[in-house]
Amino acid sequence: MKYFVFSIKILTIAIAISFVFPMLNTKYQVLDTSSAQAQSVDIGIYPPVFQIQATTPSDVKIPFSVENFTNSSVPLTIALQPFSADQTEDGNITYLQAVDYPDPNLPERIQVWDGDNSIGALTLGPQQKKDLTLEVQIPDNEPKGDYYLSLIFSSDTNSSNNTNSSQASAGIASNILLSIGPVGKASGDIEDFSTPFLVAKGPVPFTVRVRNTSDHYVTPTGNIEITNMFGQIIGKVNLLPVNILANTIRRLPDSAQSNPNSNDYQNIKAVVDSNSFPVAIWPEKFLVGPYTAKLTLAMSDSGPLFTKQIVFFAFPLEYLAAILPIIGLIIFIAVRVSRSRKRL
Amino acid sequence: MNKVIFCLLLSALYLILYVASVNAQTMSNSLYMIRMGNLNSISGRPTGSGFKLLYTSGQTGPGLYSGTNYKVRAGFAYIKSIIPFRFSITNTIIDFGIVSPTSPVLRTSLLTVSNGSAYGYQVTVSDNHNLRNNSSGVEIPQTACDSGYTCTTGTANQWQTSLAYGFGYNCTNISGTDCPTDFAGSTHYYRPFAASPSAVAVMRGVAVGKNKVAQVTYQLNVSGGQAGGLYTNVINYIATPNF
Repeated sequence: MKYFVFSIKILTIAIAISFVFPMLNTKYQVLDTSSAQAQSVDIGIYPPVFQIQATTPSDVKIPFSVENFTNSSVPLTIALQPFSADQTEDGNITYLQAVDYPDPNLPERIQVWDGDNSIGALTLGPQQKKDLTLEVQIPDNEPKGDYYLSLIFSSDTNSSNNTNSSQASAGIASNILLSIGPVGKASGDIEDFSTPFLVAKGPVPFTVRVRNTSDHYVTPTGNIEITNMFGQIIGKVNLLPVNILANTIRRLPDSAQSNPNSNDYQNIKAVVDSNSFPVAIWPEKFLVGPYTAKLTLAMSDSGPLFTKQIVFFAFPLEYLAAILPIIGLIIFIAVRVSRSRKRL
Repeated sequence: MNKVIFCLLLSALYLILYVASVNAQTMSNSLYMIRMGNLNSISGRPTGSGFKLLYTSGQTGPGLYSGTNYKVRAGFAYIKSIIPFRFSITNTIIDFGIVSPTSPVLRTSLLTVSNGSAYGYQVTVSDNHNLRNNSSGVEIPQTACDSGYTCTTGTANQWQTSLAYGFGYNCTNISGTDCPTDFAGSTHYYRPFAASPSAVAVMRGVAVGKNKVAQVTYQLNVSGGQAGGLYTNVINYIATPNF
């Protein structure tokens, strides 16, 4: 009986503990509020681009996430901003204030959802990652056309200041490339394919500028094959399949530049850094004689296909500088020996 | 006494064995977070006499989505990373304190960008208006840099003399080389801020990279004729990946 009463007491205590600890834990979480005013902001978004091809009618829903990497909460405002390709032709954007869309009202049908709620702002807690949904509603009568918009999450600023100060707002964006079709056939051309005519050594940078004359964005694929003076293919550079917006030009880099941790990238990094615009780089270092580079480019999976060929020469001037004195010395000795023999 | 010890042991055992709840898919709580491309616990290779099937679940990486009349590629097909495109700024309040005429005030912020999942990026900057005394409407103008060294929103130039007044910024590379070249690697070259909605690039990078850091130095210098008061504005930075 004594042990029975003791067991009941223990059971009661255990049940009490099992209720109290979760309650305390919940209470702790409720009271654990970090400072509301973030002195630093560190936010991330994934994916960095949404490539959408749709026909009418459709209701596009795409999951994405935003993340706060600080230990403070950060209030964010969501905005959509139209953009076009920057004149640098490197894939950067220029935000537009006014844009002539086929349907000016379409951006209003792009919404961000947090569960079942359409939101225009949210607050991320410390170290919080938030899964959201991007929705694009395209009605049956939507005209065809391309829409390029940035989805921007900007940190809010505190409206009250009692000192001479500037407040910084940090924003992070993901780009939306929306093609409402049916899209027509891709069209365009190779605007420029060039390299220095004479190079002393590799790696060799190629400028590849491609014009997209389609009314929709394209993602061309291609490569550059390098042939030596004996007609042998001795190198191949795969081009990065980047997006080219409708009626714009873009410079194409090579695929090694998509992985900065690879050995291939380390071999060409110095050339990447020394060029202010994207170039496709052949990593070969020692080069002698004439070379032919042939660019093959497909504007889309269904074509059209373009090719262009250029010739460049390589002459290793550094080696020549080292060899010339030796050649000079040999000639000098040969001449002296020849003269000596004539005298004899 | 034994009961007390027993209760304490029971409590300790509870604390040790207590596990906070974790939601599937996101797999995170206040203590930790697990990020993965696939939920491998429910992936596998079922086979039978007439079929072979590979499946995974919970895909969050760069991928294809499709539905009625649409298909989507989220993320760049040629970059396997699912690291978020990330931007940070070290301090969001740039406090100039009490500003004395012809005594330039310098303040700094660090901007850091990791574009492991995007080929190229830019950070644009603008301000909502000049530093302004909201009660009087009086403003501190943007800098024009030193006399004979005119700077614009897109072209930095020398600003060293304390007799050139205004508000501007310098960009200096800390890690990487993503500050615009017009700053010439000098801490004495400044630009005025572009007024929103216009904006100009203060960092710009090609290729894929991480932890690219630039230091922005704000300089504020006012003349003796500047009216006293409280001057404030908002500076907007937006980090955007290339498309």
